[in-house]
Amino acid sequence: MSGAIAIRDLSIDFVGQGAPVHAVRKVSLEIQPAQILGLVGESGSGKSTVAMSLLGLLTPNARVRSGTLALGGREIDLADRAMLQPLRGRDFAMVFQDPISSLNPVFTIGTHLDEVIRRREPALGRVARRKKAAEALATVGIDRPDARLQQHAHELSGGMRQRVVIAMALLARPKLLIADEPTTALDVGVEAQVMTELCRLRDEIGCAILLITHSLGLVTRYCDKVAVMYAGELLERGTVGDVARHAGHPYTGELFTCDVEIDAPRAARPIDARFEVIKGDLPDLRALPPGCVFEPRCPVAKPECKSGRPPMIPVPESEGQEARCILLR
Amino acid sequence: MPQPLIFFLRRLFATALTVVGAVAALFLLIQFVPGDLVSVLLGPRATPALRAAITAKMGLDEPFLTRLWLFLSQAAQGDFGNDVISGRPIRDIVFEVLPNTFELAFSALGVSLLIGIPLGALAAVKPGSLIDTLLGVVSVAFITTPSFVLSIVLLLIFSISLHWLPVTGAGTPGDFGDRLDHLILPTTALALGWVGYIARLVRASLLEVLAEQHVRTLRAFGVPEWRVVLVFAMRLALVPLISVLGIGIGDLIGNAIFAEIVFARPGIGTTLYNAAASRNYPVLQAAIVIVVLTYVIANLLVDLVNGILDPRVMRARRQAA
Amino acid sequence: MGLLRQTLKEKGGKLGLTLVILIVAMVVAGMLFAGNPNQIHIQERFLGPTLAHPLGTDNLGRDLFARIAWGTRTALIISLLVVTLSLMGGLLVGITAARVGGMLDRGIIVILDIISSFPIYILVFALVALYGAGIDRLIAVIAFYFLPQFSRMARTQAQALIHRPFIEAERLMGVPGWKVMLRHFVPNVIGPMIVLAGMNLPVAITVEAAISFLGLGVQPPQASLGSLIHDGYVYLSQSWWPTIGSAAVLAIVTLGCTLLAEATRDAFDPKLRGRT
Repeated sequence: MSGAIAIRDLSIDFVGQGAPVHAVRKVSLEIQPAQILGLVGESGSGKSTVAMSLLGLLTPNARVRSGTLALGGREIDLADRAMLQPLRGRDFAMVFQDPISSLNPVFTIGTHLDEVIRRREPALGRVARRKKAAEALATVGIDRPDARLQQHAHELSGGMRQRVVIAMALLARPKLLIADEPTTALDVGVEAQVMTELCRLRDEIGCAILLITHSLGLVTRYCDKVAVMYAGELLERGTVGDVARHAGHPYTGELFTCDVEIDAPRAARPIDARFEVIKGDLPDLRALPPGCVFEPRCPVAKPECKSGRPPMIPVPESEGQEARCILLR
Repeated sequence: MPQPLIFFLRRLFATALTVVGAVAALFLLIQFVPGDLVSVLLGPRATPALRAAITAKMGLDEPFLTRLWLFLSQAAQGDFGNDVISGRPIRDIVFEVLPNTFELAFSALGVSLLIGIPLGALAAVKPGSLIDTLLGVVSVAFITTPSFVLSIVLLLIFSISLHWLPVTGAGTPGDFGDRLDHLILPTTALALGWVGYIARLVRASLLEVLAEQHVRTLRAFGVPEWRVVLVFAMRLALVPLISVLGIGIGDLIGNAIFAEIVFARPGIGTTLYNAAASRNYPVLQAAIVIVVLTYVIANLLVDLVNGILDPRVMRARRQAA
Repeated sequence: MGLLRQTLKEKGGKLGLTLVILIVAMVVAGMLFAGNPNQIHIQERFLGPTLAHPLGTDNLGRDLFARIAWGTRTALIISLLVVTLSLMGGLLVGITAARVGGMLDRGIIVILDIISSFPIYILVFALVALYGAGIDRLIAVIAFYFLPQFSRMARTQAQALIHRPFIEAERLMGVPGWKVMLRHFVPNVIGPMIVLAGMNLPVAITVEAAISFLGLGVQPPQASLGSLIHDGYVYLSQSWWPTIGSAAVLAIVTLGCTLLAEATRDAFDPKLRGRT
């Protein structure tokens, strides 16, 4: 489809003392407008690094080795940060994990919203901007929006602050909204409200959402498609229904089935907790195994898994589902 | 009553209490001076008649608390009595020179802020750059060198050796250029250390703020980098600087004394010094009260500015109180 | 030893220690080899550096190397006495305030606030003017000025200890207060206090020099860095050697001590880095 946003062959290293850390390797993703793509993986799997590279906001020790971005008929080199700056606040916006610290404590809520409107509509006057900001707050379900504009972050609850950032996204009207663990720091009840607001935002402006998360529960409830990352590589992608029903990759299978505790609802447990029961450690990202990156921990590994990095292979009888596992052949 | 007003009144009350406490402490110190005060003031060879006259005139035969009350109530009206030696009102002696000291202290403060803040910001935006490295090395040297030493070195170089700038005095009253010429060296001597200090503080503070999440939020929404740094991060980074300025003003006035003495500028410092050297304690007392008052008021203002800049401060204070 | 190694790893730690060692070596050399600092040779006034007088002579023909060495020694001894006194005073006041609590605690806090409301030189002026100039009074005044900082720190540290079980237990067993204080409070509180003392040592050196510069501290013929700078300053138009020599030594001493103290503080508690 023409409106799709695609990342191709993204590789990122972190340099410093010693050998470079190959944090992200040849990752390709595609998101359709008005869809939610869940990007799941453990801590350290490289999913947030992918997000920050889209915004051109990687830390100074990160090097984008390769990768392009297809956006609205254009091809953009992801290594060129200067090309990415103009996209922020127009084509991309981001909701972060920790709403406590994601707003500047000495400026009002109104000032934050105002900055976004200024960027989007430089010609708008002060009064009009203010009206627009209040409307945005009302849209994301914040009461007394006019009074809230005068308040500071510390006067709002965590869920409200996250709504403020969503209101900022609403005003930015991006083509792609990146939500990096937007509910991890919030209560379960508030989590549902924030996710509802994100879905409403998508319906309102028709943006695609890249939802980075630990929680398979969120993926199964809210996402259309899912992409699974492990140790810097994309191991599987497909629609949520297909992947949950029959995983193409043993790693995905472990994530969706393995039982850590009987009493907690399975899908609600974070991936890190599920993953503790899989034996072995994450591979060293400085010196990677020559074969499949999951082979050392894989319960069904064969000797041929040790030789050569497997390509993405279509999962049989499943439209568009692919996994990086030679056992599918 | 609105909360900020309550906050202000509470601080005002605490400040007034501190000033009264300080004056009482000063009185107590004077009370414990070995020998009697009249001898301290007039020297051992004064005639008994003169001693009796002065004792009565200054109310030294009154009880301690009466004298304290008398002093406080008169000082509140700006009346510090007359100087026994020159016979002039002490208020005139002090207020005549006070503007000179303020001129020096505030120009030093202004120069340090004007140079220190941009320097610190540059170092923070480009850590590891030449400016950053130079700042790290040079600032410590300027901070640790006492300002009177800097005064003397500047005097030696620019006045005595190069003859570029006048040696002593505060300049002819009303002649702006002349006064400015006389102000340059003492201001530089006071400001050098503070430029380094402020720059280091701003650098550390801004680096900390730039690593915070809200900076990332603004960047992610495409707010131009200069606005992120200069408008949003800077204001937060300057909050700790404001707190330091309270102490800084006291330090500047204290150090202004030395600059005044080295450059022979009339001012509160030279007045204090002369009063101390001649043990003219009523003048000393008045000058000290004025300096303490300035210092305490400066701190009060700093607290208020802080409360305006950072709304969290006021809330924290309200909760603590 | 671990702390020393950590200190030397810190940026500035090595330079600081080198400068301090250099100064101490200068003092020892001056005391051993430079002769009598008060020996007057009126014919040899205002000499520049020569082999016999490596730093020249002053307005009375006294050897400046000897005078600066002895003056630095005086300054160091005074400052060490000052921080030791204020450290001990702070321990006593702070721990007492924390342990007794109630009205006494609040009273102490108010008094400390009042002491801090005087800018340092003003306090020194007031006391010296009233009680007269002299080393003993100078030491007392600067130590008194540092007292609030040390007391507040000791009080905060001690408050964290009061309700620890081992201290409650001793109190219940009737162990005398001073014993508990020496056995438990002092050892637990002293670490950060020593770091604070280190930070205040160069401040003490500066204040001592400033007061002696004004002639209100160390009295002639005894030399201190401040009085040497003053003597030089008076004859600045005739010879700048005396001023520059002693001023440079003062600047090096304070710089060395500050760098060393900051490195120690950062090594002691990395959280404090960059704070003042």
